[in-house]
Amino acid sequence: MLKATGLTKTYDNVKALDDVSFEIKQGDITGFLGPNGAGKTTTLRILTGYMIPDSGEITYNDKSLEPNSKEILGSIGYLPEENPLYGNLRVDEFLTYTAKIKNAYDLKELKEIADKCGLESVMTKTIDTLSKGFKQRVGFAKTLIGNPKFLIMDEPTEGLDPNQKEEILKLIKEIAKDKTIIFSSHVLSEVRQIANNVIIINRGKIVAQGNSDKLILKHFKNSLVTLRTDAPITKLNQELKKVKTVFAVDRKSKDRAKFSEYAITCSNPEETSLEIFKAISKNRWHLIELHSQSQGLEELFKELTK
Amino acid sequence: MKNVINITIKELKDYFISPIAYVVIAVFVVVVGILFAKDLFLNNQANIRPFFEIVPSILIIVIPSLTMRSWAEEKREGTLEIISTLPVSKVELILSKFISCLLFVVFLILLTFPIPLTLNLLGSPDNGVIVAGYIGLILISASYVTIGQFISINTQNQIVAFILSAIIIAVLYLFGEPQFLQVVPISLRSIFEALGLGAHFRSVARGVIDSRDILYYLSIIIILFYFINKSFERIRRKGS
Repeated sequence: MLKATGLTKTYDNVKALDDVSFEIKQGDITGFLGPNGAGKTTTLRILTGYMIPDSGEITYNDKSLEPNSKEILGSIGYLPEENPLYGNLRVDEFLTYTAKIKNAYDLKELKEIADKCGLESVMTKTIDTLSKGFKQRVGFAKTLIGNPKFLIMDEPTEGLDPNQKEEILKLIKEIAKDKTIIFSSHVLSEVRQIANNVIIINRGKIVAQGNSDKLILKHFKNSLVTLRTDAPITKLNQELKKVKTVFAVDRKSKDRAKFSEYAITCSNPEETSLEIFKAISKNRWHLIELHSQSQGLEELFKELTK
Repeated sequence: MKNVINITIKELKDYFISPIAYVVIAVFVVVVGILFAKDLFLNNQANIRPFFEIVPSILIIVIPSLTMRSWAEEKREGTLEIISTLPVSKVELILSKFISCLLFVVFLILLTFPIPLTLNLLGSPDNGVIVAGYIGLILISASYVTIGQFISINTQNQIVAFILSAIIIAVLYLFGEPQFLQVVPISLRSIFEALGLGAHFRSVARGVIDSRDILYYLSIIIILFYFINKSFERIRRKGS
Protein backbone atom coordinates (compact mmCIF):
# COMPACT_ATOMS: atom_id res chain seq x y z
CA MET A 1 0.00 0.00 0.00
CA LEU A 2 1.14 3.51 -0.83
CA LYS A 3 0.20 6.20 1.64
CA ALA A 4 0.77 9.95 1.52
CA THR A 5 0.05 11.93 4.66
CA GLY A 6 -0.15 15.69 4.99
CA LEU A 7 2.09 16.61 2.06
CA THR A 8 2.77 20.31 1.83
CA LYS A 9 4.99 22.08 -0.65
CA THR A 10 5.45 25.79 -1.24
CA TYR A 11 7.28 27.40 -4.17
CA ASP A 12 8.00 31.12 -4.02
CA ASN A 13 5.26 31.67 -1.42
CA VAL A 14 2.71 29.79 -3.53
CA LYS A 15 1.35 26.61 -2.00
CA ALA A 16 1.73 23.91 -4.64
CA LEU A 17 0.47 21.23 -2.25
CA ASP A 18 -1.67 21.90 0.75
CA ASP A 19 -2.03 19.03 3.22
CA VAL A 20 -2.36 16.34 0.56
CA SER A 21 -3.23 12.89 1.91
CA PHE A 22 -4.31 9.73 0.11
CA GLU A 23 -3.98 5.98 0.10
CA ILE A 24 -3.55 3.61 -2.80
CA LYS A 25 -4.25 -0.01 -2.09
CA GLN A 26 -2.21 -2.91 -3.41
CA GLY A 27 -3.28 -3.81 -6.93
CA ASP A 28 -5.20 -0.59 -7.61
CA ILE A 29 -4.81 1.45 -10.78
CA THR A 30 -5.32 5.04 -9.74
CA GLY A 31 -5.75 7.93 -12.12
CA PHE A 32 -4.35 11.14 -10.71
CA LEU A 33 -6.37 13.95 -12.21
CA GLY A 34 -6.15 17.67 -12.11
CA PRO A 35 -5.87 20.71 -14.34
CA ASN A 36 -2.43 22.00 -15.36
CA GLY A 37 -0.55 23.39 -12.38
CA ALA A 38 -2.80 21.63 -9.86
CA GLY A 39 0.13 19.84 -8.20
CA LYS A 40 0.15 16.45 -9.96
CA THR A 41 3.82 16.43 -10.96
CA THR A 42 4.91 17.81 -7.59
CA THR A 43 3.01 15.04 -5.81
CA LEU A 44 4.45 12.31 -8.03
CA ARG A 45 7.97 13.70 -7.62
CA ILE A 46 7.52 13.60 -3.86
CA LEU A 47 6.21 10.03 -4.08
CA THR A 48 9.40 8.98 -5.86
CA GLY A 49 11.69 10.83 -3.47
CA TYR A 50 12.97 13.18 -6.18
CA MET A 51 11.48 16.13 -4.39
CA ILE A 52 11.52 16.81 -0.67
CA PRO A 53 8.20 18.09 0.75
CA ASP A 54 8.07 20.92 3.29
CA SER A 55 6.11 18.56 5.52
CA GLY A 56 4.33 15.25 5.33
CA GLU A 57 5.25 11.61 4.97
CA ILE A 58 5.22 8.92 2.29
CA THR A 59 5.04 5.26 3.21
CA TYR A 60 5.27 2.20 1.00
CA ASN A 61 3.86 -0.89 2.69
CA ASP A 62 4.15 0.94 6.03
CA LYS A 63 7.82 1.79 5.49
CA SER A 64 8.70 5.46 5.41
CA LEU A 65 10.32 6.59 2.14
CA GLU A 66 12.99 8.89 3.50
CA PRO A 67 15.17 6.65 5.66
CA ASN A 68 14.48 3.62 3.42
CA SER A 69 14.65 5.38 0.07
CA LYS A 70 17.24 3.09 -1.53
CA GLU A 71 15.30 -0.06 -0.69
CA ILE A 72 11.93 1.44 -1.63
CA LEU A 73 13.13 3.02 -4.89
CA GLY A 74 14.14 -0.47 -5.99
CA SER A 75 10.47 -1.44 -5.89
CA ILE A 76 9.28 1.59 -7.87
CA GLY A 77 9.16 2.05 -11.62
CA TYR A 78 8.89 5.75 -12.43
CA LEU A 79 8.15 7.47 -15.68
CA PRO A 80 8.75 11.21 -15.17
CA GLU A 81 6.94 13.99 -16.97
CA GLU A 82 8.28 14.56 -20.52
CA ASN A 83 10.14 11.25 -20.24
CA PRO A 84 13.78 12.38 -19.92
CA LEU A 85 16.27 9.81 -21.26
CA TYR A 86 20.03 9.54 -21.75
CA GLY A 87 19.83 10.38 -25.44
CA ASN A 88 23.47 9.56 -26.20
CA LEU A 89 23.07 5.93 -25.10
CA ARG A 90 21.72 3.08 -27.19
CA VAL A 91 18.41 1.58 -26.08
CA ASP A 92 20.07 -1.67 -24.91
CA GLU A 93 22.80 0.29 -23.09
CA PHE A 94 20.22 2.43 -21.30
CA LEU A 95 18.08 -0.53 -20.23
CA THR A 96 21.15 -2.50 -19.12
CA TYR A 97 22.42 0.49 -17.14
CA THR A 98 19.06 0.89 -15.37
CA ALA A 99 18.87 -2.86 -14.69
CA LYS A 100 22.36 -2.92 -13.20
CA ILE A 101 21.58 0.00 -10.91
CA LYS A 102 18.33 -1.68 -9.86
CA ASN A 103 20.39 -4.80 -9.20
CA ALA A 104 18.08 -6.61 -11.61
CA TYR A 105 20.31 -7.31 -14.58
CA ASP A 106 18.92 -10.35 -16.33
CA LEU A 107 19.34 -10.51 -20.08
CA LYS A 108 16.28 -12.74 -20.50
CA GLU A 109 14.09 -10.37 -18.50
CA LEU A 110 15.40 -7.37 -20.44
CA LYS A 111 14.56 -9.11 -23.70
CA GLU A 112 11.06 -9.89 -22.46
CA ILE A 113 10.52 -6.26 -21.45
CA ALA A 114 11.85 -5.05 -24.81
CA ASP A 115 9.50 -7.45 -26.61
CA LYS A 116 6.55 -6.38 -24.48
CA CYS A 117 7.26 -2.73 -25.26
CA GLY A 118 7.88 -3.35 -28.97
CA LEU A 119 11.52 -2.29 -28.85
CA GLU A 120 13.16 -5.32 -30.53
CA SER A 121 13.83 -3.44 -33.77
CA VAL A 122 15.49 -0.43 -32.12
CA MET A 123 17.57 -2.03 -29.37
CA THR A 124 20.90 -1.03 -30.94
CA LYS A 125 19.81 2.45 -31.96
CA THR A 126 20.83 5.61 -30.14
CA ILE A 127 17.89 6.97 -28.13
CA ASP A 128 18.24 10.48 -29.61
CA THR A 129 17.54 9.10 -33.11
CA LEU A 130 14.21 7.50 -32.11
CA SER A 131 10.72 8.87 -32.74
CA LYS A 132 8.71 10.24 -29.83
CA GLY A 133 6.60 7.07 -29.71
CA PHE A 134 9.65 4.83 -29.43
CA LYS A 135 11.22 7.12 -26.83
CA GLN A 136 8.06 6.82 -24.77
CA ARG A 137 8.29 3.03 -25.06
CA VAL A 138 11.91 3.14 -23.91
CA GLY A 139 10.86 5.20 -20.88
CA PHE A 140 8.07 2.76 -20.23
CA ALA A 141 10.40 -0.25 -20.59
CA LYS A 142 12.73 1.37 -18.07
CA THR A 143 9.90 1.56 -15.51
CA LEU A 144 9.27 -2.20 -15.84
CA ILE A 145 12.84 -3.26 -15.10
CA GLY A 146 13.20 -5.29 -11.91
CA ASN A 147 9.48 -6.14 -11.83
CA PRO A 148 8.61 -3.18 -9.55
CA LYS A 149 5.59 -3.46 -7.25
CA PHE A 150 4.72 0.20 -7.70
CA LEU A 151 4.45 2.06 -10.99
CA ILE A 152 4.31 5.84 -10.94
CA MET A 153 3.77 7.52 -14.27
CA ASP A 154 3.45 11.21 -15.00
CA GLU A 155 1.29 11.64 -18.10
CA PRO A 156 2.48 8.44 -19.79
CA THR A 157 0.59 9.11 -23.02
CA GLU A 158 1.40 12.80 -23.42
CA GLY A 159 2.40 13.73 -26.97
CA LEU A 160 1.58 10.35 -28.49
CA ASP A 161 -0.73 9.79 -31.45
CA PRO A 162 -4.04 7.97 -30.78
CA ASN A 163 -2.67 4.56 -31.84
CA GLN A 164 0.41 4.89 -29.65
CA LYS A 165 -1.78 6.03 -26.75
CA GLU A 166 -3.94 2.98 -27.20
CA GLU A 167 -0.88 0.72 -27.16
CA ILE A 168 0.55 2.25 -23.98
CA LEU A 169 -2.81 2.03 -22.20
CA LYS A 170 -3.15 -1.60 -23.29
CA LEU A 171 0.32 -2.28 -21.95
CA ILE A 172 -0.49 -0.65 -18.59
CA LYS A 173 -3.59 -2.82 -18.32
CA GLU A 174 -1.59 -5.91 -19.19
CA ILE A 175 1.07 -5.41 -16.55
CA ALA A 176 -1.35 -4.15 -13.90
CA LYS A 177 -2.24 -7.55 -12.45
CA ASP A 178 0.23 -7.64 -9.58
CA LYS A 179 1.16 -3.97 -9.37
CA THR A 180 -0.01 -0.81 -7.68
CA ILE A 181 -0.20 1.91 -10.30
CA ILE A 182 -0.67 5.64 -10.07
CA PHE A 183 -0.61 7.72 -13.22
CA SER A 184 -1.41 11.33 -13.82
CA SER A 185 -3.37 12.52 -16.79
CA HIS A 186 -5.74 15.19 -17.87
CA VAL A 187 -7.26 12.95 -20.53
CA LEU A 188 -10.30 11.65 -18.72
CA SER A 189 -11.18 9.00 -21.29
CA GLU A 190 -7.84 7.30 -20.61
CA VAL A 191 -8.41 7.33 -16.89
CA ARG A 192 -11.90 5.90 -17.34
CA GLN A 193 -10.47 3.22 -19.60
CA ILE A 194 -7.93 1.75 -17.19
CA ALA A 195 -8.24 3.17 -13.67
CA ASN A 196 -10.48 1.72 -11.00
CA ASN A 197 -9.86 4.66 -8.69
CA VAL A 198 -9.29 8.35 -9.12
CA ILE A 199 -7.72 11.10 -7.10
CA ILE A 200 -8.65 14.61 -8.19
CA ILE A 201 -6.38 17.46 -7.17
CA ASN A 202 -7.07 21.14 -7.66
CA ARG A 203 -4.94 24.08 -6.57
CA GLY A 204 -2.79 21.79 -4.44
CA LYS A 205 -5.67 20.18 -2.56
CA ILE A 206 -7.26 16.79 -2.97
CA VAL A 207 -10.88 17.45 -3.87
CA ALA A 208 -12.03 13.86 -4.39
CA GLN A 209 -10.66 10.36 -4.16
CA GLY A 210 -12.08 6.89 -4.51
CA ASN A 211 -13.93 4.73 -6.99
CA SER A 212 -14.97 6.94 -9.91
CA ASP A 213 -18.53 5.53 -10.21
CA LYS A 214 -19.16 6.03 -6.51
CA LEU A 215 -17.75 9.54 -6.67
CA ILE A 216 -20.03 10.41 -9.57
CA LEU A 217 -23.04 9.05 -7.70
CA LYS A 218 -22.03 10.95 -4.59
CA HIS A 219 -21.58 14.27 -6.36
CA PHE A 220 -24.40 14.11 -8.87
CA LYS A 221 -27.61 13.09 -7.19
CA ASN A 222 -29.69 14.28 -10.17
CA SER A 223 -29.56 12.91 -13.67
CA LEU A 224 -31.53 13.86 -16.73
CA VAL A 225 -33.69 11.76 -19.07
CA THR A 226 -34.97 13.44 -22.24
CA LEU A 227 -37.68 12.05 -24.47
CA ARG A 228 -39.84 12.99 -27.49
CA THR A 229 -43.37 11.69 -27.30
CA ASP A 230 -46.96 12.66 -28.12
CA ALA A 231 -47.99 12.15 -24.48
CA PRO A 232 -49.86 15.19 -23.10
CA ILE A 233 -47.98 16.98 -20.34
CA THR A 234 -50.70 16.62 -17.70
CA LYS A 235 -51.13 12.88 -18.24
CA LEU A 236 -47.39 12.23 -18.41
CA ASN A 237 -47.02 14.16 -15.17
CA GLN A 238 -49.68 12.06 -13.52
CA GLU A 239 -48.00 8.83 -14.61
CA LEU A 240 -44.50 9.84 -13.57
CA LYS A 241 -45.56 11.23 -10.20
CA LYS A 242 -45.94 7.62 -9.12
CA VAL A 243 -42.25 6.89 -9.92
CA LYS A 244 -40.07 7.41 -6.85
CA THR A 245 -36.92 8.26 -8.79
CA VAL A 246 -38.52 11.18 -10.70
CA PHE A 247 -38.21 14.67 -9.23
CA ALA A 248 -39.58 16.91 -12.02
CA VAL A 249 -41.05 16.81 -15.52
CA ASP A 250 -40.47 19.78 -17.83
CA ARG A 251 -41.69 20.29 -21.38
CA LYS A 252 -38.88 21.77 -23.44
CA SER A 253 -40.61 22.19 -26.80
CA LYS A 254 -43.53 21.06 -28.92
CA ASP A 255 -43.52 20.52 -32.68
CA ARG A 256 -46.33 20.65 -35.28
CA ALA A 257 -46.94 16.90 -35.19
CA LYS A 258 -47.98 17.19 -31.53
CA PHE A 259 -44.73 15.66 -30.34
CA SER A 260 -43.14 17.28 -27.33
CA GLU A 261 -39.67 17.11 -25.92
CA TYR A 262 -39.58 16.48 -22.17
CA ALA A 263 -36.76 16.69 -19.66
CA ILE A 264 -37.18 14.46 -16.64
CA THR A 265 -34.98 15.16 -13.60
CA CYS A 266 -34.42 11.97 -11.69
CA SER A 267 -32.04 10.11 -9.38
CA ASN A 268 -31.57 6.89 -11.34
CA PRO A 269 -31.67 7.35 -15.11
CA GLU A 270 -31.83 3.62 -15.96
CA GLU A 271 -34.76 2.85 -13.67
CA THR A 272 -36.53 6.06 -14.69
CA SER A 273 -36.16 5.24 -18.40
CA LEU A 274 -37.74 1.85 -17.79
CA GLU A 275 -40.69 3.38 -15.93
CA ILE A 276 -41.18 6.00 -18.68
CA PHE A 277 -41.21 3.27 -21.28
CA LYS A 278 -43.80 1.28 -19.28
CA ALA A 279 -46.05 4.35 -18.90
CA ILE A 280 -45.85 5.18 -22.61
CA SER A 281 -46.57 1.61 -23.58
CA LYS A 282 -49.54 1.34 -21.15
CA ASN A 283 -51.13 4.55 -22.51
CA ARG A 284 -50.35 3.64 -26.13
CA TRP A 285 -48.50 6.90 -26.68
CA HIS A 286 -45.83 7.14 -29.33
CA LEU A 287 -42.18 7.41 -28.38
CA ILE A 288 -39.65 8.80 -30.87
CA GLU A 289 -36.63 9.31 -28.71
CA LEU A 290 -35.50 8.40 -25.21
CA HIS A 291 -32.13 9.47 -23.98
CA SER A 292 -30.63 9.23 -20.53
CA GLN A 293 -27.87 11.66 -19.66
CA SER A 294 -26.02 10.31 -16.69
CA GLN A 295 -23.18 12.47 -15.36
CA GLY A 296 -19.68 11.17 -16.02
CA LEU A 297 -16.09 11.67 -14.98
CA GLU A 298 -15.84 14.75 -17.23
CA GLU A 299 -18.69 16.47 -15.42
CA LEU A 300 -17.27 15.45 -12.06
CA PHE A 301 -13.85 16.80 -13.03
CA LYS A 302 -15.33 20.08 -14.29
CA GLU A 303 -17.46 20.44 -11.18
CA LEU A 304 -14.58 19.84 -8.79
CA THR A 305 -11.87 21.82 -10.55
CA LYS A 306 -13.87 24.98 -11.35
CA MET B 1 30.06 0.30 -4.33
CA LYS B 2 28.46 -1.58 -7.24
CA ASN B 3 26.42 1.52 -8.09
CA VAL B 4 29.52 3.71 -7.96
CA ILE B 5 31.23 1.41 -10.48
CA ASN B 6 28.19 1.27 -12.79
CA ILE B 7 27.62 5.02 -12.79
CA THR B 8 31.34 5.73 -13.13
CA ILE B 9 31.56 3.48 -16.19
CA LYS B 10 28.53 5.17 -17.76
CA GLU B 11 29.92 8.64 -17.03
CA LEU B 12 33.33 7.70 -18.42
CA LYS B 13 31.65 6.40 -21.57
CA ASP B 14 29.83 9.75 -21.83
CA TYR B 15 33.19 11.54 -21.77
CA PHE B 16 34.60 9.35 -24.50
CA ILE B 17 31.43 9.59 -26.64
CA SER B 18 31.49 13.38 -26.47
CA PRO B 19 33.48 15.14 -29.22
CA ILE B 20 34.46 17.82 -26.70
CA ALA B 21 36.59 15.22 -24.90
CA TYR B 22 38.67 14.61 -28.00
CA VAL B 23 39.12 18.32 -28.59
CA VAL B 24 40.23 18.65 -24.95
CA ILE B 25 42.66 15.72 -25.28
CA ALA B 26 44.14 17.09 -28.51
CA VAL B 27 44.49 20.66 -27.24
CA PHE B 28 45.97 19.53 -23.92
CA VAL B 29 48.57 17.22 -25.43
CA VAL B 30 49.60 19.67 -28.17
CA VAL B 31 49.82 22.71 -25.86
CA VAL B 32 51.72 20.83 -23.12
CA GLY B 33 54.03 19.26 -25.73
CA ILE B 34 54.85 22.54 -27.48
CA LEU B 35 55.44 24.48 -24.26
CA PHE B 36 57.61 21.73 -22.82
CA ALA B 37 59.64 21.23 -26.00
CA LYS B 38 60.19 24.98 -26.31
CA ASP B 39 61.54 25.12 -22.78
CA LEU B 40 63.66 21.99 -23.21
CA PHE B 41 65.44 23.22 -26.33
CA LEU B 42 65.85 26.81 -25.08
CA ASN B 43 67.52 25.79 -21.80
CA ASN B 44 69.12 22.61 -23.13
CA GLN B 45 68.42 20.90 -19.79
CA ALA B 46 66.67 17.60 -18.99
CA ASN B 47 64.53 19.30 -16.33
CA ILE B 48 60.95 18.27 -15.43
CA ARG B 49 60.27 21.44 -13.45
CA PRO B 50 58.98 23.59 -16.33
CA PHE B 51 56.52 20.81 -17.17
CA PHE B 52 55.04 20.82 -13.67
CA GLU B 53 54.87 24.62 -13.78
CA ILE B 54 52.86 24.61 -16.99
CA VAL B 55 50.39 21.76 -16.50
CA PRO B 56 48.40 23.04 -13.44
CA SER B 57 47.75 26.31 -15.30
CA ILE B 58 46.55 24.50 -18.41
CA LEU B 59 44.30 22.31 -16.30
CA ILE B 60 42.55 25.48 -15.05
CA ILE B 61 40.93 25.64 -18.50
CA VAL B 62 40.85 21.91 -19.28
CA ILE B 63 39.07 20.63 -16.16
CA PRO B 64 36.16 23.13 -16.18
CA SER B 65 35.54 22.13 -19.82
CA LEU B 66 34.97 18.58 -18.53
CA THR B 67 33.07 19.34 -15.32
CA MET B 68 30.77 21.94 -16.89
CA ARG B 69 28.43 19.27 -18.22
CA SER B 70 28.49 16.77 -15.34
CA TRP B 71 25.54 18.17 -13.37
CA ALA B 72 24.38 21.10 -15.50
CA GLU B 73 23.51 18.82 -18.41
CA GLU B 74 21.61 16.35 -16.23
CA LYS B 75 19.61 19.25 -14.83
CA ARG B 76 18.92 20.75 -18.26
CA GLU B 77 17.95 17.42 -19.86
CA GLY B 78 15.88 16.34 -16.85
CA THR B 79 17.88 13.11 -16.50
CA LEU B 80 18.75 14.02 -12.92
CA GLU B 81 15.18 12.93 -12.17
CA ILE B 82 15.91 9.49 -13.66
CA ILE B 83 19.07 8.81 -11.73
CA SER B 84 17.75 10.34 -8.49
CA THR B 85 14.71 8.06 -8.52
CA LEU B 86 16.72 4.88 -9.02
CA PRO B 87 18.04 3.07 -5.94
CA VAL B 88 21.22 5.13 -5.76
CA SER B 89 22.27 7.09 -2.71
CA LYS B 90 23.18 10.73 -3.22
CA VAL B 91 26.69 10.06 -1.94
CA GLU B 92 27.16 7.26 -4.50
CA LEU B 93 26.04 9.60 -7.28
CA ILE B 94 28.28 12.48 -6.20
CA LEU B 95 31.21 10.12 -5.76
CA SER B 96 30.68 8.48 -9.18
CA LYS B 97 30.60 11.81 -10.97
CA PHE B 98 33.78 12.86 -9.19
CA ILE B 99 35.64 9.59 -9.84
CA SER B 100 34.69 9.41 -13.52
CA CYS B 101 35.86 12.95 -14.19
CA LEU B 102 39.04 12.45 -12.21
CA LEU B 103 39.78 9.21 -14.07
CA PHE B 104 39.42 11.05 -17.37
CA VAL B 105 41.81 13.74 -16.13
CA VAL B 106 44.26 11.07 -14.94
CA PHE B 107 44.06 9.56 -18.43
CA LEU B 108 44.87 13.00 -19.85
CA ILE B 109 47.79 13.43 -17.48
CA LEU B 110 49.11 9.97 -18.34
CA LEU B 111 49.21 11.05 -21.98
CA THR B 112 52.08 13.33 -20.98
CA PHE B 113 54.14 10.31 -19.96
CA PRO B 114 56.40 10.55 -23.04
CA ILE B 115 57.77 13.75 -21.49
CA PRO B 116 59.49 12.13 -18.45
CA LEU B 117 60.47 9.25 -20.74
CA THR B 118 62.18 11.66 -23.12
CA LEU B 119 63.92 13.34 -20.19
CA ASN B 120 65.20 9.98 -19.00
CA LEU B 121 66.53 9.28 -22.48
CA LEU B 122 68.23 12.66 -22.75
CA GLY B 123 69.61 12.90 -19.24
CA SER B 124 69.17 11.65 -15.72
CA PRO B 125 66.34 13.57 -14.02
CA ASP B 126 65.27 12.88 -10.42
CA ASN B 127 62.50 10.30 -10.92
CA GLY B 128 61.35 10.75 -7.30
CA VAL B 129 60.49 14.35 -8.13
CA ILE B 130 58.68 13.19 -11.27
CA VAL B 131 56.55 10.70 -9.32
CA ALA B 132 55.82 13.32 -6.63
CA GLY B 133 54.93 15.82 -9.34
CA TYR B 134 52.44 13.41 -10.88
CA ILE B 135 50.91 12.74 -7.44
CA GLY B 136 50.65 16.50 -7.00
CA LEU B 137 48.98 16.84 -10.39
CA ILE B 138 46.37 14.25 -9.44
CA LEU B 139 45.72 15.98 -6.11
CA ILE B 140 45.36 19.44 -7.63
CA SER B 141 43.21 18.00 -10.42
CA ALA B 142 40.92 16.37 -7.86
CA SER B 143 40.35 19.75 -6.21
CA TYR B 144 39.76 21.41 -9.60
CA VAL B 145 37.20 18.69 -10.37
CA THR B 146 35.26 19.22 -7.14
CA ILE B 147 35.26 23.00 -7.66
CA GLY B 148 34.05 22.55 -11.25
CA GLN B 149 31.37 20.07 -10.20
CA PHE B 150 30.17 22.32 -7.40
CA ILE B 151 29.70 25.15 -9.91
CA SER B 152 28.09 22.76 -12.40
CA ILE B 153 25.43 21.59 -9.92
CA ASN B 154 24.55 25.20 -9.18
CA THR B 155 24.08 26.26 -12.80
CA GLN B 156 21.99 25.05 -15.69
CA ASN B 157 24.08 26.63 -18.42
CA GLN B 158 27.29 24.80 -19.29
CA ILE B 159 29.08 27.90 -20.58
CA VAL B 160 28.35 29.76 -17.36
CA ALA B 161 29.59 26.71 -15.42
CA PHE B 162 32.80 26.64 -17.47
CA ILE B 163 33.60 30.35 -17.11
CA LEU B 164 32.76 30.51 -13.40
CA SER B 165 34.75 27.37 -12.60
CA ALA B 166 37.80 28.56 -14.51
CA ILE B 167 37.69 31.97 -12.78
CA ILE B 168 37.28 30.50 -9.28
CA ILE B 169 40.03 27.91 -9.80
CA ALA B 170 42.34 30.56 -11.27
CA VAL B 171 41.75 32.89 -8.33
CA LEU B 172 42.36 30.10 -5.79
CA TYR B 173 45.46 29.09 -7.72
CA LEU B 174 46.78 32.63 -7.72
CA PHE B 175 46.34 33.06 -3.96
CA GLY B 176 49.61 31.31 -3.19
CA GLU B 177 51.63 32.70 -6.11
CA PRO B 178 54.66 34.87 -5.14
CA GLN B 179 53.57 37.66 -7.54
CA PHE B 180 50.15 37.81 -5.86
CA LEU B 181 51.55 37.59 -2.34
CA GLN B 182 53.68 40.68 -3.01
CA VAL B 183 50.57 42.87 -3.27
CA VAL B 184 48.90 41.33 -0.20
CA PRO B 185 49.45 42.92 3.26
CA ILE B 186 52.16 41.01 5.16
CA SER B 187 49.76 40.02 7.94
CA LEU B 188 47.53 38.22 5.42
CA ARG B 189 50.27 36.57 3.38
CA SER B 190 50.42 33.33 5.36
CA ILE B 191 46.63 32.92 5.08
CA PHE B 192 46.65 33.42 1.30
CA GLU B 193 49.66 31.16 0.94
CA ALA B 194 47.90 28.44 2.91
CA LEU B 195 44.80 28.85 0.72
CA GLY B 196 46.59 28.86 -2.63
CA LEU B 197 46.08 25.76 -4.76
CA GLY B 198 49.34 26.39 -6.62
CA ALA B 199 51.53 26.87 -3.54
CA HIS B 200 50.63 23.44 -2.17
CA PHE B 201 51.21 21.88 -5.58
CA ARG B 202 54.67 23.41 -5.84
CA SER B 203 55.51 21.98 -2.45
CA VAL B 204 54.51 18.46 -3.56
CA ALA B 205 56.17 18.85 -6.97
CA ARG B 206 59.48 19.61 -5.26
CA GLY B 207 59.43 15.98 -4.20
CA VAL B 208 58.33 16.58 -0.62
CA ILE B 209 55.03 14.92 0.06
CA ASP B 210 53.98 16.78 3.18
CA SER B 211 50.87 15.60 5.07
CA ARG B 212 49.75 19.25 5.31
CA ASP B 213 49.53 19.50 1.52
CA ILE B 214 47.64 16.23 1.25
CA LEU B 215 45.34 17.34 4.06
CA TYR B 216 44.77 20.66 2.28
CA TYR B 217 43.64 18.99 -0.95
CA LEU B 218 41.57 16.41 0.91
CA SER B 219 39.90 19.20 2.89
CA ILE B 220 38.96 21.04 -0.31
CA ILE B 221 37.52 17.83 -1.76
CA ILE B 222 35.56 16.88 1.36
CA ILE B 223 34.23 20.40 1.97
CA LEU B 224 33.08 20.68 -1.64
CA PHE B 225 31.52 17.20 -1.49
CA TYR B 226 29.50 18.49 1.44
CA PHE B 227 28.41 21.57 -0.51
CA ILE B 228 27.61 19.53 -3.63
CA ASN B 229 25.41 17.35 -1.43
CA LYS B 230 23.75 20.47 0.00
CA SER B 231 23.21 21.84 -3.52
CA PHE B 232 21.68 18.51 -4.52
CA GLU B 233 19.32 18.75 -1.56
CA ARG B 234 18.42 22.29 -2.61
CA ILE B 235 17.55 21.00 -6.09
CA ARG B 236 15.37 18.33 -4.51
CA ARG B 237 13.64 20.99 -2.42
CA LYS B 238 13.11 23.26 -5.41
CA GLY B 239 12.43 20.46 -7.87
CA SER B 240 14.76 21.82 -10.58
